[in-house]
Amino acid sequence: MTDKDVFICRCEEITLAEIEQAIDEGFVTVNDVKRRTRAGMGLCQGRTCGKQIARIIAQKTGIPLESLLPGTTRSPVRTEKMEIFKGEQDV
Amino acid sequence: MFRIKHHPILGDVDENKEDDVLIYVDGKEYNVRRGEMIAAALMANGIRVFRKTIKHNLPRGIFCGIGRCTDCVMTVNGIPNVRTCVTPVEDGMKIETQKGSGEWGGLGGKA
Amino acid sequence: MTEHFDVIIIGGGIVGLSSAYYLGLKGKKILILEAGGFGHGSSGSCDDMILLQSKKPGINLRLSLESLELYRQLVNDWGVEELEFLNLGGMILIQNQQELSIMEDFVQQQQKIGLDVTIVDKNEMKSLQPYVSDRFIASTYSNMDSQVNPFSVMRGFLTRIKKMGGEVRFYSPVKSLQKKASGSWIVKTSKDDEYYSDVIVNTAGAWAGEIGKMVGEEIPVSPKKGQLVITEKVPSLGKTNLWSASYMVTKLRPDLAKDNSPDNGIGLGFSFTRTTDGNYLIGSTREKAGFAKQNSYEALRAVVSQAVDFLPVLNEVHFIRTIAGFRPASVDGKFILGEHKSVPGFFTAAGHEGDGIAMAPVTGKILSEMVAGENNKQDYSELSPDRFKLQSTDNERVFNVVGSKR
Repeated sequence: MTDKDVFICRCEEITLAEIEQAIDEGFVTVNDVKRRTRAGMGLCQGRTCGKQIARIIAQKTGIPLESLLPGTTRSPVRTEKMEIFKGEQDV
Repeated sequence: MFRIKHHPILGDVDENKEDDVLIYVDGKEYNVRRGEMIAAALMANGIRVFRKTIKHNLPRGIFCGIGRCTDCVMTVNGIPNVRTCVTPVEDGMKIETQKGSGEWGGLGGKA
Repeated sequence: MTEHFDVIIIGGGIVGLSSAYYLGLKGKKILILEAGGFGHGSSGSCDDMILLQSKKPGINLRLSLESLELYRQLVNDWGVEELEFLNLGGMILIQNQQELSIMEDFVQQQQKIGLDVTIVDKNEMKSLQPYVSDRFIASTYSNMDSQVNPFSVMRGFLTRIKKMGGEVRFYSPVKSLQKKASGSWIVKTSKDDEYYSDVIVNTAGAWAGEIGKMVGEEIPVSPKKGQLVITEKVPSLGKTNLWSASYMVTKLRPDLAKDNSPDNGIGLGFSFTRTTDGNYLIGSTREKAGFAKQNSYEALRAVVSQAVDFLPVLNEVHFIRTIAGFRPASVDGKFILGEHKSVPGFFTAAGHEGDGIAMAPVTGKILSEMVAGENNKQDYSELSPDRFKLQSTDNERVFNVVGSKR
């Protein structure tokens, strides 16, 4: 196993090599890398890998890290059983 | 065994085992402490592989330990993808090493 | 900066990419200008179906069948794994006798034109879908309904467009369109880049009307928000994908719509499809909400409540994400495809509402033939962007809809 085989997105098992290939193809935002590779589409929704991907993009392209927006977050904040959502009463 | 027996803040662990809970892991019986998370109980019994990944069939266990990364999921009482690090053990619980996204167990058409 | 292209395509969603791909195959020099990123708009916020059963016999069903055939060709050329093409079939769940008789009638019409679809009884439905609720008394079944991963399809088109020498600029919203005396177009983006072309193709989906305004054309496409819930990857919950007849019935028999349970104006329908990765996409709503892309609690709760009601096993399944996308709805339920008579060199291919993924290949292919001036001997005047003006003279209802500028 080389450094390039290390998993960046643990949920979807996406490696550094795959992320770098996407960046080489011109996908240089966290959202675009996600839509190209599935990194961040798994159970944890990029909560673990999102920041790493931003850093990899910054290092590889020279785009300042602070100008890279994080991936879009949407509800639910944490994965939840559907039972709980439907069971809520109106507030 | 990975149990911390003397904790600087939480104090010493109560060695009284009368309140233990019986769980089954891949069919094998284990006596574990009531109130513990599944992951803690498994670690204490030397079990470190909780599942095999979907794509590359690689072993996974505890990673974040706080219910965030979802690496430690297992099939519990027939329901796949249960985060074992934030789910407490219960008497008679059936826990299975999850292969890929797992299988529906014992739910029939009724669940 | 000025560059000349044969065709500039405005909108890099699945329809724009498909159009560029088929134009590229004809040797055209292509530029795609996309306002957002890859899969940023509706093509990245939708489900994945090539659904035939929902189509009324007519041009929509005919073109869906052609599009499925084109997908099969792409599978042949690119490989099934690249497109993540699946052929799981589909079932439309029926709740009561009224729905059953309407669906029986509808299925018969579809069979007549060659769609392989039948009605199955409760036992057979349960053997294919052991987890569906007992409330359903029967179901339709067709083995033809298929699906692709929209991201994979778009990526496949994109890679090949670039290989053929085409160019794609993301984050490049178009600001203005002008026609020079020589007949060629000047396209300006908000970055103040300028590009020239012979032909403009408007594939801006829900935003097609905005592009139309730049050349003085009114294109009656409006956004309908669809909200979906995505589950974790779970073991299979049934042999086919699922829909409910209640939504079909409201489409087929609007006069009965008011008898169905109120949905608070969110246009609740039921769709349940399994992706190649094992996640389920559960939908969906059709809301008039302008371009507000937020998910709403009420709509998501309605989608989830309905889903666990229809498949109680879902109580135990986690949902990991919610999405919302704008279905580009044209006023008469047919998409818009063709050259604008009063603006030569300006084509629109938009307004597919919920069928953009299904119809992308056939739309792109026909468009490429139109732009290349080839005659494929089919009459597409039903889809013409000029049909709204034509109809306004002899059809008051359509005129009212067009003129009301919702």
